[in-house]
Formats: sequence, structure tokens, C-alpha cells
Amino acid sequence: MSANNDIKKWYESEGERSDVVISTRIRLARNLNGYPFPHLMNQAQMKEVCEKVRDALTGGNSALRNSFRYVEADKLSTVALASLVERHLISPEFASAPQGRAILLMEDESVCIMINEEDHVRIQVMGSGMQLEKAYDMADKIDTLLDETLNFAFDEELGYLTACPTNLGTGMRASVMLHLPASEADGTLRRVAANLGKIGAAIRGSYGEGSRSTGAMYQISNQVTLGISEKDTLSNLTDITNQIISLEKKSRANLLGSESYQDSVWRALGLLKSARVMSSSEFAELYSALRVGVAEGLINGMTLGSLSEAYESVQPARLMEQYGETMNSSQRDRKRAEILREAFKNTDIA
Amino acid sequence: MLCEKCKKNEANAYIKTNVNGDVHEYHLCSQCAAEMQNSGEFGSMFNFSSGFDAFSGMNSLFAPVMSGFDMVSSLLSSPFGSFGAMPTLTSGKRCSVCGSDFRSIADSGKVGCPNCYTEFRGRLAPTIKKLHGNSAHCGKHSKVTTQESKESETASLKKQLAEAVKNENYELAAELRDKIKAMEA
Repeated sequence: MSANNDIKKWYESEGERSDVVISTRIRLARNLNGYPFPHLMNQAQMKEVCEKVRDALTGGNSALRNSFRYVEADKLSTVALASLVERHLISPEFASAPQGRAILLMEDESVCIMINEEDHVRIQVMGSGMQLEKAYDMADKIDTLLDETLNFAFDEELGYLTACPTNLGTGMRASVMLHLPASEADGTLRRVAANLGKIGAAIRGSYGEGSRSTGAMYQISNQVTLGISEKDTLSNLTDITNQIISLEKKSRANLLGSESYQDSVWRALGLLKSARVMSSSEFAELYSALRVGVAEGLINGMTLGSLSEAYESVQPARLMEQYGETMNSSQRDRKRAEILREAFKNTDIA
Repeated sequence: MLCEKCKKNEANAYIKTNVNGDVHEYHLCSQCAAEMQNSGEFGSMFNFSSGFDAFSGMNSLFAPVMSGFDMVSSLLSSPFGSFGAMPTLTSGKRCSVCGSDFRSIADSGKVGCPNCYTEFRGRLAPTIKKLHGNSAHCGKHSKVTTQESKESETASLKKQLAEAVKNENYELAAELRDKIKAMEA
């Protein structure tokens, strides 16, 4: 499913604290009474749940109804599914077993509801930069709308009932994706990470659980969902994030003072402006230096928003969606280099 | 062999547990086995139920040897395994909505359906406590429950109002009447 090019996507804009915070995400896990959780459902039940959720959203009078597109996951090609994973709209697990699953995707891709992933409904709201409250408000609004007809499974003591007991309570996972190259390099991050667990937060690589960090991208999220309200969870996470941001900024100030780091930023720019072949892993590593360069004023002629846009546009599955699903990796590497040369042509060292 | 507990019936259930290397073997009749499990006599060592559900499918005669270590390793990937889940005896009860038994929940780390939380509440409690502490939900409520709790709150206010009128406490009665009016509006 290729991204609609007419509508500006959420990740193409620049949010608050974009110098460190790449994006914000809120996920709410919800379930319907009277059905087994998805891992025990048969195809007929999965289909029923998909239709019920779709109708609850698009059948009502809400202004939201026209901004969503309903897509059955098994009608999508492997490349289209991979592209949705790249854009963090669906989980790799969802893409690996598309049968009986569907998504409701908002035009600007800031909201994607996964149906029949681990839970019947997973409302996800994304935003660029730091905007936990705003993203939550949107998730809350959609949740309330769906609850009108679906009457989500709920227990006074346990809160929203979920397939995995780890999500009981609010069913909410709030997370921020942070770019932490300087605190990663000087060891600050390791010290902070060791203490995050004690205050109910977790840190992971950029593609969620079990993933390794590439290009110093880290996801910080709440761990506890039962016994703490949504509001308190968000305010805790905001405090933690603000502290990590200030540590990163301090580390960056030191790092930027070194000639070798400045040199690495400008070399990265030089490569992007000249290279004819660029693999995705090489770009992921260069991207970290470029992002710091743009954020900290070492590179002129590029905003963080257009940098994010360039990043998304050269991901492997996205390239195949745009330029042909039969592209092999060396064809993609050439195309990637071409797109990046174009995107960076007006940039210069400060 | 006679049952170790009642020493009357033939022992037809053999349970072997291994908690941190501390091995115990039990030869019991099915009745005593069920009683011990229900009374919690296995104590903290057996605070986590699973195991016997697997036996129930085999008519529970000459139940297979279960090694605690095997259970632990198979459960490690689930939230239920993170605190040394040990096999014990269950009645083989199944959820009336999804048909899950407790063993399958413990093995997969996933609950069968929302109704399982009601039907296996007692047995899920230790896991939930381990994961979340002694917490009760606070935060957003679903619509249905909000409506239900609203209704029960009005009912209780109405009772208080009747009481106040009976006691001729008209000041309180007026206050309660206004509250009810506001809630029903």
C-alpha cells in the first residue's frame, strides 16, 4: 500500500524538541467481550471482529469517519506490509501473519488501528517530536468513539482486559523515540538506562522489543499499566524524557567541541552529496551524524522535517513501492543515492 | 501403593516437583490430590497452578512424571514463568466462553479471552500481583462500566435520601436530592 503523496504525513513535519525527539507514540490495547483473544480465534471470528471495529469507526456520525481507510492485511503485498512496518504503522508480528487482520489508517498516517494483532484492537497514534499529551488526546477520542458501540472488555479492578496480563489497566504504552548519539558515545546513556527500570520506564532499540539500536535511536516507554492513570503515566514519561534530553544536550555540547566529531558530520554530508551507491545500513549510520549536524547548526539548507522525509523516502520497502517491487538491493542502493543527492543538493557546511 | 495422605485408596497420581533443586515426590489418590490443591496444602511451593489440567485429559490415572525444571523452562518465555511457576493440580476447569484451561494460559503466557479473567481470577492473581504489585486500576473507565457505576451510585444516594427523609433530616435530604438530579440529568 503506497503512501498517498497528496497529503503531508505526520513524519514530514517537525515537532517540539525535534533536535532530540524523533517521534511520539501512544498505543491503547482494547478487546471485545464474547470473543477469544486473537491467538485463539478462528478465521470467521477474526473476520467478524474486523468488521465490527470497522463499522464502529466508519459507521458513526463522528467527523473522524471519513479520514480513515480500511485495509485487509492479507490483500497487501509483502512489500506493502514491509513498508508499513518501516513506517512503524504495524508491528513486524502483525505483518508476518496477515490472515484475518486489518488496519484502519488515517490519511496523514498519524493514526493506525491494528485489528487482531495481540489484542482485538490496538489504537496507535504517532506524532513528530515531543507531543505525548496531544497524541494521547487523539487516542482517547478514538477509544471513546469505538467504545460507544464495541463496549470494550473492562474490569473495575483490572482495568481494560488484555491478552497479555502485562498490559492490564490502562492498556496504554506511551513512548518517545529519541536520538541519543552523544550520550551513547560518552557512556551517559548506559548509566541512565540502568536506572530507568526503577522508575517504571524501559529503553529499547528503534523497532521495539528485542531490537538493536541503529544510528543511536532509542525508544523510551512506560512499563507499568495497572494502578497508574494515563495522565500520571504521561507526566512521568515527560519528566524522564526531559531529563534525558538535557543530558544528551550536555553530552552534545562536549562532543561538538571536538574537531573529529565536526569532521565526521561534514564527511557524512560530503558522502551524501556525492555517492552514487548507498546501502541502507551505511545511510542509517550517516543519518545519525547528519541529524546532529542539522539539529545543532553544523549543516545549513536543511530542516529536521525535510531530513525525516528524506529518511523515510529511502527505506528499502518504500523504494520498492515507489520504483518497482522487483528492484534488487543494488538497484535500490543506486536509487537511494540518487534521491539523497537530490535532497541534499542545497545543503552546505555552516 | 497406597495414597500417602489418606493411606486408604490406591495412589494413582504421581507428582514430582523441583523448586530450586529441592525435589519432592508425592503419591496420592486423585481425591486427596484434588483436596490438597483446593485447600492450598501444597503451600507456597504450589502457589501457581498448571500441570494437572494436562492430566485431566488422560483420565488422571497413572499420570506422567512431571519435572519442575521442564515446566520452568517452558514457562520462562511467558509472564507466568517469571516467578518459578511450578506444576500443581487443577480441576481441569475450562472457560465457558473460549474453552481455555489454566494450563494453556500458563503455557502460552496469554489469557484466552476477557471472561478468563473472571473464571480464573484467583489463579491469575499471583501473576498479576507479580507483574503489577497490589494495584487496582485507576484511569479511564469504559463506557459500560461508567454507566453501571453511575447507576449504582444513584441507587445508593436514593437509599440515603429515603433514610434522611425518614429521620426528618431535610437539609441532608435536599442536598441528596440535588445530587441525584444532577447525576440523572
